[in-house]
Amino acid sequence: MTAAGERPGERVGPGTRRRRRLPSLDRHRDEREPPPGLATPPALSFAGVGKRFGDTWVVRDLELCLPPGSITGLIGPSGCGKTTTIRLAMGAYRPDEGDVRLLGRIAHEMSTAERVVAGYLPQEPMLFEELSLWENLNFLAALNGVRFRRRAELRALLDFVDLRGEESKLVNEASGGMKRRLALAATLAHNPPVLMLDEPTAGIDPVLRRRFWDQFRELRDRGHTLVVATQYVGEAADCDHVVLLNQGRIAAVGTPDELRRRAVGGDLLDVSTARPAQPATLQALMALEPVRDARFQDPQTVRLTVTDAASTLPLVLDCLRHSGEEVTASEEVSVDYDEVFIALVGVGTT
Amino acid sequence: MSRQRIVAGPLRPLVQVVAFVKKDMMVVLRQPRLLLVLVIGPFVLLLLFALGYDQQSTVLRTMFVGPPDSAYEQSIDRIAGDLGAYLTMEGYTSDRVAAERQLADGDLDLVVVFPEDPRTTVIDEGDHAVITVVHNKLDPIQQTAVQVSSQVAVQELNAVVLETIVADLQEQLRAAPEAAATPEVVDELDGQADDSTTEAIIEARDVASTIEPAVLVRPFRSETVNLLRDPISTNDYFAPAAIALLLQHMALTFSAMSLVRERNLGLFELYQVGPIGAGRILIGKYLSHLLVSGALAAALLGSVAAGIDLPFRGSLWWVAVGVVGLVTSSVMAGMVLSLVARTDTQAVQYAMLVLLAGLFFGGFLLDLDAVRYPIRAVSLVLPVTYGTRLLRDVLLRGTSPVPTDLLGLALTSVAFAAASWWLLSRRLRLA
Repeated sequence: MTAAGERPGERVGPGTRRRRRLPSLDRHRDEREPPPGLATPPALSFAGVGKRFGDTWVVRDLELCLPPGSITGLIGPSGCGKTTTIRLAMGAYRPDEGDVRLLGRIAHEMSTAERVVAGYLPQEPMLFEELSLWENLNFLAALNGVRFRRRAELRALLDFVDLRGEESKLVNEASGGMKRRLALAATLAHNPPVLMLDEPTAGIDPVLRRRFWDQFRELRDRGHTLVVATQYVGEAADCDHVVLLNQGRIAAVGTPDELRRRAVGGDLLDVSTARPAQPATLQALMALEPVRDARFQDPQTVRLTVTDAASTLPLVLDCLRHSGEEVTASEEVSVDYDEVFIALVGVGTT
Repeated sequence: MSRQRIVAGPLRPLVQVVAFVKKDMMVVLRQPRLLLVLVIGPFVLLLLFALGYDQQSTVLRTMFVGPPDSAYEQSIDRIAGDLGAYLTMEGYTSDRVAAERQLADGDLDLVVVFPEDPRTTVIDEGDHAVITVVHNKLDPIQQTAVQVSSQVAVQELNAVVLETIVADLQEQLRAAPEAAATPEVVDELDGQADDSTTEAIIEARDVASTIEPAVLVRPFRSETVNLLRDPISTNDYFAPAAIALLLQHMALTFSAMSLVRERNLGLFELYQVGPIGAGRILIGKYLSHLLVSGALAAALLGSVAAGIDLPFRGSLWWVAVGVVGLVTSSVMAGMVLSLVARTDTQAVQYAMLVLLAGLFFGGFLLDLDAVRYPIRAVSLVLPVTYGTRLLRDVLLRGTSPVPTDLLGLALTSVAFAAASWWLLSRRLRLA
């Protein structure tokens, strides 16, 4: 695919906590599954999409295809076109070029009734200050057409976002994090299969950010498709697929690992020896087929760029032993996604 | 920032105050439409009022009622001509009932009923002949105008009668010998009944000596009759208009602010992408404001009834219909304003202008007839115009509302609803 590949497995990210299941999500899950024999349409697809305001193209040449039940991160700096992409996906903007399809339907042509398939979490929580958290949630749920007898579902949502017990608090007395969690609950109220979250973690502390991502993964595991716009490059690691946007264009698309490899040319391995390694040792390592690059980090540590860290490490260790080096440590280097982003954006823009 | 850059001492408050001055001025100056509305809006309203106010409208459409083929009918044109500044003659009839029906239907302002036999009343009974002026005005100002007009008219009629009598006497006296004019001669001639001139002189003397001087000089006097069951105080008259104006302002401002606020809050973004359309948003908001304003209207009417003893002469059902119509039209007008305004300040300003327009053109201070076309079109688009008249008719006259007012409220409601739906749909349309 231009963007995302195969459907991710049932992996649960680190730090995921078991929460109370959402009855509404479970109840409707089967209804969303396509009849046997029918191919599942992509949750969201962009085909050569461009959007301009006046003479300025805000996004252009967007080619994406997001499978259902995945988390896709739209990552990029402020003003790179993340919100425009989300609004195009929601059908709020009519593309000037190409087609945007949401669950197989052209997004901007969807009727009011059809829009129920998507939930939208805007950048700023849109809540009434004079109303309580419960009243806001109730209103926003009704806005999305949730039935009159919805108390149980809404309580479950409050549980899900850890706001149970706080529902009578007025919004103007709530913290920023509580408002964001309430806004997320409101987005989930009508149990939409596709969720568009526009910078849901912007301006919140790392602990709460982690809890948000736990919740996103839980939603993904329940079958929802999430598109999460964020300017925190590090959050790429939490996504199944990442779309790097820069100046309105896609700089790179892939899984987090793919992008990391693309940025640094493969996996990185650091191997430390008991005494400073000889240049001949470096030559021997470079001669290994999976090794693309080898250089000294310091006299006793060699950093290798390899096609695949797991399969190459035994070959490397064997080579060092034959060279008479005593290996004291070896580890795969986790690359910071800021560096990945800078590397890929640099590649994409040059 | 280095510490030295921070202003210390008495200059610091100055710097801070100036900062607010600059910021607030910039905020205002960056809203040219608001400034335009603030300055031009009231000016335009005053200009329209000056252009549209028709002083001639105080001339009352009058039907005269008297015996057929009487002297009144012959002299009525002259009287009406002399009173042209106060009334226009709509005709002369002997059918008082029909004339009063026309008055009730609003086709006439006045019915002037002449006495059947004024000669008997004045000459034989020595009393004033009463001219009855019938009207059905609620407005205390118009009631006074009717009284003044009828007094002036009767004075004019008295003058005409006196002039006619004196002219007749002069004619007869010219035919008599000069000596006959002395009292001695008159006494001497008293027994000579065959001379018509002498009889006239004798009769004139008798009349002049027996009738009260006040009756002789002013044989007619006027009595003003209002067809309304009970008199209306000034408070009573203005209370329904004040209630209608308050209801319009309240409903219009609430709805305008509500939608502007939601737009500022960003909720339009959710409406745009959510499974909801403009129609449902407007209906929901309308019903909410109808309930709130309806409750406030009930409280307001109740307190006015109890506090200033406002009469409730008509059906409460019609009052409810009027309030619903007025609130509906006002809420929808508020929606339109909120969708035209860009900020909440603008919305408030627009609401204030509508209030001002209601005062000038809604029949609060002046009767609608005092406003000329085409400027009266301003009155026709204001819900308060119909609401005021409707509440006055129902509460004070005790009648059903006139169909025009019900139709006016219905049409303005539909027109404003359609406009707000179109504007909101356009706002929610794809970019």
